[in-house]
Amino acid sequence: MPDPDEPSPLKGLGERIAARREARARDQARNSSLASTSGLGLGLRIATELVSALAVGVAIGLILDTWLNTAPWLLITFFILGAAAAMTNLIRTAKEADAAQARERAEAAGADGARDGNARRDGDTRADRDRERPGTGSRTDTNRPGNGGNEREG
Amino acid sequence: MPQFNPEWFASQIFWLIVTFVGLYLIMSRVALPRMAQIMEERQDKIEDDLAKAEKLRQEAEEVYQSYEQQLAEARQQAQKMLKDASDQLDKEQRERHEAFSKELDQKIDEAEQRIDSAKQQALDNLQSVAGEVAQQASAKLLGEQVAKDKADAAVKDAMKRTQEGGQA
Amino acid sequence: MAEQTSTNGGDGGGGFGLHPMEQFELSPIVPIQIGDLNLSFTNSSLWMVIAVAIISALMMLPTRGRALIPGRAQAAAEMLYEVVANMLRDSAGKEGRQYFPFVFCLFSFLLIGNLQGLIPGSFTFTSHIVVTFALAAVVFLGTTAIGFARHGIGFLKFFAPEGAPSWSLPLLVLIELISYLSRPVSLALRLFANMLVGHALLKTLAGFVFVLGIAGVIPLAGLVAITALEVLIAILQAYVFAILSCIYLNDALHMH
Repeated sequence: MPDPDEPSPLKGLGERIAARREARARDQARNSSLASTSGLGLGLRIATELVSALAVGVAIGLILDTWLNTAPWLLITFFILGAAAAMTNLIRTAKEADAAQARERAEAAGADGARDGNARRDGDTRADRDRERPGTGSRTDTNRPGNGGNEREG
Repeated sequence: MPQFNPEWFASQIFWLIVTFVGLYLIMSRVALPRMAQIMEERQDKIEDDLAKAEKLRQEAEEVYQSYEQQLAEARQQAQKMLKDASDQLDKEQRERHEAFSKELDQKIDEAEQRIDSAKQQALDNLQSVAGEVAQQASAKLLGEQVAKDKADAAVKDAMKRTQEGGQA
Repeated sequence: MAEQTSTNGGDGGGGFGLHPMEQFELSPIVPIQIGDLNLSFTNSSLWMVIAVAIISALMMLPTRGRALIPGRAQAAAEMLYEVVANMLRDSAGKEGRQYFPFVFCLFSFLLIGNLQGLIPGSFTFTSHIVVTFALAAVVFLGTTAIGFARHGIGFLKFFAPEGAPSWSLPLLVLIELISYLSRPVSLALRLFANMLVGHALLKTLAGFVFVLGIAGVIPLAGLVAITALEVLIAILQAYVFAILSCIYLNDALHMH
């Protein structure tokens, strides 16, 4: 005879369905930033951005000098401008990396929030799907470690 | 460095354009739409399956609830029946007990009455016998016939006194 | 250049024709000459074709069955698809979707190009600045064209930083212009330099391994480590190229 105080045996199933839904929402919210924030990628980006801005400045200076016969004044001017552009590039890249990092942290926090609150359900999931469809395609739910863990639960 | 040998620039760019355009056409016309379709189908399937699972779970939950309710009702009913039966049994027993004791009382009463009447009768008999004996004894002793009434009354009186004396 | 002589066996580094720069030499397989242009089908062209074949095979063969539950190969293809889709969505938002096929081709072409360069005896077409610059130029011209198509002449405002005092505006516009023009250069240069240095290093180390024989164990360990690093860099550089293209696309679409 089942104990009337005993929780419904279907409670576990409901929890598993909810967990699966949350995992999906989390997966879809998660972005895969592979290189933008990694130190190596950032270092390589900054180095080449410095060099190339300088190179473009020098190239413009050289071309204008030969065209206007003003050597070496425009070369010097554009070298300085190129250096300034290199600095702008540098600052911009650093800012981008900062923003990316902040976004990543915010998203990690958001993922935690989604794990706690059950409010993030159908509507959100569908919104994510629509947002995430490039062209005619959509993202799928390739099984991630989080999902596997949920599967074993219960 | 061979990279800066202009001899091959044209060839490199030409074949880059040829291969890249080829790749673009294959990808955008065939591979990517097919991929998108597959993934969309799967997305929809997973979504559907989850929705279905949730629906089935709700149905199962309902069935379970009603089963639980029915079980509770049945249990309640069984308890009620049990109680009724035991009440009934109690009542019957009580009634039977009462009837029996009444009968017993009646029988005791009857017996007592019978005993009383028998006693009375015996006493009466004794009285009359005593009266006779007293009459005859007094006749023998006194030589005169005492009236029967007087003898009886004297015996009665004596017996009353003995009775009271015995009782005191 | 010095490498011209090295192909004739006169190199001191390898001894087995393993001169670090030799791998970057182009050699015609099918000579084609149209007018003054040398459009020969070279080893570089061959590896470009192989890259296209690999990508097509990866994307098409596993998806033939249109399986709902992906096999290993299909999962790999889907992962590639997803990485690019995420990258484009995160960088350029919804409007970037229509350029998804291009970004996908760009990323996969560079990725396979970089990776196949790690095969001994192969040719790395991404280690040629002509190739990387051509691709960077396509991205640059394309995004600039998209910017003007979307915002008309207003796209020029992109070069005028907001809130700057008006006297400094010409100077700032000039700096912004140089910065903007440096984009394709840095894009091309980064990939080219990474591939060149990485592969040259690998070849040099490999040369040491062969020359040193038994003692070559030491450089061999280094070779293994560097190869692992090179695989990472090959993936990373393709990713960086593609994601920067997405960021530039985003600038053209939204002007910050």
